[in-house]
Amino acid sequence: MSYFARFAAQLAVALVVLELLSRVVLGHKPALRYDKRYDRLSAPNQNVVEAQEGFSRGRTNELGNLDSPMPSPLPAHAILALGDSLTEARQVGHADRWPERLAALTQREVYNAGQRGWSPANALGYLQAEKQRFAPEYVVLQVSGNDIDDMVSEKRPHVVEGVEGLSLKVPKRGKSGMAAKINKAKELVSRSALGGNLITAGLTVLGAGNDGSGNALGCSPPTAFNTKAANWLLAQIRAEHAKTVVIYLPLLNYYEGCSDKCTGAAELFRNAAATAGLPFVDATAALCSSFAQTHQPLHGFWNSLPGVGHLNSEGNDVVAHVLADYFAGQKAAP
Amino acid sequence: MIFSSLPFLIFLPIVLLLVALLKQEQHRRIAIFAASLFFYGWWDWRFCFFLVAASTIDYWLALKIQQAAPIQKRRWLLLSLASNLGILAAFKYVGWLLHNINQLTGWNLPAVDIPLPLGISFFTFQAMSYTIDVYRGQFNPTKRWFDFSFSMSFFPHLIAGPIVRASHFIPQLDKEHPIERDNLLDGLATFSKGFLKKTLLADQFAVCVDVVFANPAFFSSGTVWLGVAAYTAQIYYDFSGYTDMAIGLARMFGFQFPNNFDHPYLSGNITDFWRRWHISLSSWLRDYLYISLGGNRKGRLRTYVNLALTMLLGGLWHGANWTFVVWGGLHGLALAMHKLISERWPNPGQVRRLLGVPLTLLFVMVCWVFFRAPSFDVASIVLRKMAFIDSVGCDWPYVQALLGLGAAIGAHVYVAFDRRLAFDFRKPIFLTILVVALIIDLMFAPTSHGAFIYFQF
Repeated sequence: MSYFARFAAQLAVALVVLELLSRVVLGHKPALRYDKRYDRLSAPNQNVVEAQEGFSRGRTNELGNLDSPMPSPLPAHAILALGDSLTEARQVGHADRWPERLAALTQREVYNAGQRGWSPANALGYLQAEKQRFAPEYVVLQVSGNDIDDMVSEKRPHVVEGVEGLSLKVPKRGKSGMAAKINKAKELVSRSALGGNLITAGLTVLGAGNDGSGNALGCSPPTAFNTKAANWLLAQIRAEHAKTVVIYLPLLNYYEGCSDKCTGAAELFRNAAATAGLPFVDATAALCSSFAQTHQPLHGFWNSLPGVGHLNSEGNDVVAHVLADYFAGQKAAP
Repeated sequence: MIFSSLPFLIFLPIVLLLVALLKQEQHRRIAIFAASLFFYGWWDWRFCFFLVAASTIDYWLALKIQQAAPIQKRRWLLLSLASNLGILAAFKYVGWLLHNINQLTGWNLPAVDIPLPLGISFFTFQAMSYTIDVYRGQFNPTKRWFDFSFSMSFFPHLIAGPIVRASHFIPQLDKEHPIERDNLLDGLATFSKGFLKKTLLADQFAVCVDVVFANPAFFSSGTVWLGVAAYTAQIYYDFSGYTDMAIGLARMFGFQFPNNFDHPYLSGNITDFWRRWHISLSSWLRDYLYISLGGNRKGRLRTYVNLALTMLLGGLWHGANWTFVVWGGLHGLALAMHKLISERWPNPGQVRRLLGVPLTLLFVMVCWVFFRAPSFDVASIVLRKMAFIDSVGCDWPYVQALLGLGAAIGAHVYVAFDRRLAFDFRKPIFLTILVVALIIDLMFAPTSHGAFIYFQF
């Protein structure tokens, strides 16, 4: 056998092993699909292996959510959790995600419809499209500092201002031309866990890692338009579902006195919720209190930077307790 | 354009192809020289003129030393040393000196912020070894300006060594160096080994090290120990990885560089460590500084002082910061103490043999704290944490660092049993291993770390 034939044979075996390893431990992101009403969703019924931050294995349900199947309509007293990757919480195991813990604490059914990269703009589109189908008693809408940029970003569903006032705009995803071909090719390669990982890694190396749909947890200082957009979005969400609770999850800087990296974000959403007449729950104090007691940041994992990125298992637990306290208060209220 | 970056991985095959296509040796040399200047100019093209000018001065001074009457040779040598040390001082130490004077006297001398030409510490030491060797009559200076400039600017060693002495390199120019298959394969294997050391190990350790040394007070003692262990591994894999890449590159073009590392963390004592760590620097310091100071020829006490002084200056060579001076000073003291002990008790007992490796490693790790910490305040916090004072803090058993340390320990144990890890691309399995390693590298290597630690020196 020639040198190159032997090399090709060995490489083929190695690639198969790497593909299997990717599917089991090295990481497997599900492909994406797009809905014209609320944009991106993970593809349904796909295996997911998260290994970059924390480690978890799971499977998307028939709707593309990382949760068990969602009946339609939902059972009485059910809660629908909407938010971004902090709600989807793929970095921790299913039982450790805050919606699942909240279910255990409140004895209610809680359905996790969080999707990485979502902002309240996606949530509004989702509620407008799917409210009748599921009809939960409560919606818990998770917001964070990164939503300030996301809800006005043209790469995502965003708020625009026209002559008739504010409205929601969902970007058109390429169905023809080069963009569509590239998307198709990416989707094809992404069927292989190894291929998907290499696309992501390659794009990162080339400096094009964040295509606007990922889960970059950064934020800019709020502008006047951000305030306007947040007010409008929460008012619209209130109109779609009156029993919506807004929970604010901060991105904390643990190295400098446990402060929110997104200055002004909590205020912005608190005011927007008050204007819309929605209850607002802020998890900042509880997260910082836990950190003060244990010295362990509630964000970050043993395989990522401490205090950076997504909520870890303890962080999800704190959030679940904060929300459970809110619902307990509601129950106790006359 | 660092060796592990995309631009370099494009630059290298182009240069190799160009050199392979050229039939005449002189044309090949000119092509490599031009490529070296392009490589250096990638950071700042103005420093190319500086490099050529510095080489020209030493080329001329070496000829003057050889031609001068015995009594005048010393004068020309002093001029060469003054020129090289002056360049080094002007670029590297003036700002630091002014800062220290201001602090001591309360004056307000203006701050000087001169951009540091990359590799200045390396090529000035190479130039000095050339003129000193000529002065000592150990090497005849080359008559060809191009040969000396070529040896100084040859891009594989230009930025961070190894310190290739002219007496080692210039004789190689007497031979022709066409691109040959065997050299290419061997060079590629060594280069790949270095590339993987850097990107798979050193860059992963860097993530842990940067976080821990940025906020040592934030972390628990266990995590700080992990950070220091990770730095111990990082600096070895970063620098030895760089050296492998440099040696591999030189080999691809048909040249030989001296080895710069010999598994230093397996050393049984600190003297042994310095025989195995950054060999081209430690042997330079021995041959041109320690021996010039009198070496061991002026009595026992003076030997210890010379050792300590050599290492102190060796520390300062690494950078204009008192932390480097303390690092060098500690190593100097340890070398002197080891000399004293081994002179008094020449035969190491069973206990010394058994504890030699871990104790040497522990000492080296503690010294690295001063090398890595940006200030004494940070070093002091790290050392307090290592001593389990104020030990409470965030526990962060960073998985990648632990896995990397496991791999590093495994590799060292393997080597300790007289085995060697080497790629040989004549066997396809090694090419497969390389491709798989590159895929894993691409998937997991952090993208925020690139520059080699020794570039700053």
